[in-house]
Amino acid sequence: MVEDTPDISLWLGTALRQGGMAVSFATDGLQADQCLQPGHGFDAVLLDLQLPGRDGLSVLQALRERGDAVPVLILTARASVPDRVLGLNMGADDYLPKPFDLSELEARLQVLLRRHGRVKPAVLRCGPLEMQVDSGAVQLHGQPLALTKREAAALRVLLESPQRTVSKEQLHAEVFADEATGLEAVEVLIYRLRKKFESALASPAEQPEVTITTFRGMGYMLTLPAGQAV
Amino acid sequence: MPANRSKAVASLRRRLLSWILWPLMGLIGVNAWVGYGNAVQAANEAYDRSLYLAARTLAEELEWRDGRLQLDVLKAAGYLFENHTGSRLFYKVTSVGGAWLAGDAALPSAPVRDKSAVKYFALVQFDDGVYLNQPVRLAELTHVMEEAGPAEALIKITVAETMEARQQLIQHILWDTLGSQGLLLLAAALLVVWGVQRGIRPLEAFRQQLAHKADDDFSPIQPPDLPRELRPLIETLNSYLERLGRLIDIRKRFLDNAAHQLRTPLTALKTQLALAQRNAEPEQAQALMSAARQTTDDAVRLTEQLLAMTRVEHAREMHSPQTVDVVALAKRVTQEHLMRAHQLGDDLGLELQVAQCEVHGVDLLLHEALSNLIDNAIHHGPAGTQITVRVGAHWFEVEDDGPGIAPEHQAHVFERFYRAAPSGLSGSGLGLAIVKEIASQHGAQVSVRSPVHGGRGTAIRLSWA
Repeated sequence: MVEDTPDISLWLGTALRQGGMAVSFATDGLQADQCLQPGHGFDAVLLDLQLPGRDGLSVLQALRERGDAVPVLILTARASVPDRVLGLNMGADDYLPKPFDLSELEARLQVLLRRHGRVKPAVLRCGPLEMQVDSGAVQLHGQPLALTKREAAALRVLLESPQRTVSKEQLHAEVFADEATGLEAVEVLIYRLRKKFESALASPAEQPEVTITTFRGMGYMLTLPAGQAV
Repeated sequence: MPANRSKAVASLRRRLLSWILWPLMGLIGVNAWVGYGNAVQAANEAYDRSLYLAARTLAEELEWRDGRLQLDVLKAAGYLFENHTGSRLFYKVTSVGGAWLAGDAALPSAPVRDKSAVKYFALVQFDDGVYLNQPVRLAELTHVMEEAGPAEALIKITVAETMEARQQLIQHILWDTLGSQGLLLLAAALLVVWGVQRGIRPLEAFRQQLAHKADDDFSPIQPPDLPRELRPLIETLNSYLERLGRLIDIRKRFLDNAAHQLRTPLTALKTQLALAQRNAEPEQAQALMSAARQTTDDAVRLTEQLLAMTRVEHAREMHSPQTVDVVALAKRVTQEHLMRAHQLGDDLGLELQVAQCEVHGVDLLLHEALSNLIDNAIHHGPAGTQITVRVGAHWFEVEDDGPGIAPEHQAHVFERFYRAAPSGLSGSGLGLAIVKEIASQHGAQVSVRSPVHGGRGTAIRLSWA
């Protein structure tokens, strides 16, 4: 974590450590550049832009010029669109304007790590719902859930897109590929998935119920009841 | 600024002076040149005439006696020299054929010209020549001797005069002309400078008045004795001052309001945290913590909106408009608010009536406007509110089925810090003001419909004509 405000780095570091990560700190651009020399061994970099000594963007540029592909998430109070574009053009993987929610940072960081294969999730998870990445086996509340091949394919698309809607057209393209079926096929598929979730709900434990929510005009998303983090 | 302005005044003065003085100088110069030329010609003619008279006198003193030419030199000299004090005279008498008869033999003859330059008598010729290395004026008179035999009846008398007297006179004329015309020019210049100074004085007084104005004084300026031509300028300036004053007043009030608005959540936050620290019971501390979190969220929202307001106000200088597809924009913005709406139990949806809606504008600002409308609907509606983002041909709107806005509030909801919401519900009072500002920058109309149906609901729409 490259951050010059102690208040932020201390508490953010604490939160990330509680989440099971190992965090190292650099408080200025020069120190960050030293830490990020080849062979640094970091899985991801949280980078502030306004740093003493050396600007965050130049640290990032140097890093990319060395051919280092470590995922970089920019955290900054400079939130204008041109700044954002500049950061992403220079090789940042994501951009989170301050102030941000801790849960959002954690989620984005997880997505980054996963996308870069730094953390190979064996399991895709949404609340009590789990899917083995390799086998495609699905468990709800710890109980196996029998799904057809297409249902599993649709569920995988939804699980791979946490906190974002997947449009009907997109699901159709992913699941039915080049079959000559209409969009209603997607509706039927989702309907069946929901039914299977509901019938598996007779779980003894008071676990949050996961549902496939339809967002009008936007598509589908796996959601947990209000107030629950996904 | 003041230095700049006085420079402008100086340059106006200089310009006026140069417009008047240069042509005046030219005219006076031409006048002097013409006058000088005339005077010189008149002087020359007078001198030529007296030279002719000298030749004539000489001729009359000539006698043909005993086959020889006789000249009463003393008498002739008396005539010759009485009028020619300033210069020396020479003479020569020759036959028509050029044979020397009397006087200075080396004196050149005036060439015979068909067309005489001087309109005297055909019998006299004038010319400029050189004698004894001095420039001289020559007059050659052809004279008929009455007593002589026919062979010698015609003789030529050449009289030469050195130029000192003429040159003196010409110089005199020159200095005279230059002196008088110079004085005229000087007097004219002084008059012009004085006039221009006087003419510009009200302007200078006006400048002084403006320069001594206090920074926060936007009262109209009333300079005395201002020329009529400048009055529209002053009126324009005064109306500008008035508008500026009003604008700054609004700014000041905005800042006061903003300061108050920002301090409020921060004060609440401090209190909540202090209480949480003091409370040993975990349950109460937990409640305080979540309250503090809520307060922080409010403060963040307020800060964002204050910054957004400033950004929007300066957007014109910072962003150039391009074609924006509102459909794509609506999808993006709705997606961004989806999770929060869902977590609060609201039903946020998108309804597209067209496949594409292109408008000319700044993407960032339209994003801000739509985002504010959705945010407003989420914020002010109770949990479970149905919110619909709708895009049609040349318009987009956000409709909710919340409590709606009472008619008496509808006219004011776009004013800064105006809050129609019941007290107790936090809000910055800026969200819709930002929307309004963005709409006006985009030439779009903002309209409110409330209630939408069943006595509930609000729809706020941005539409392009």
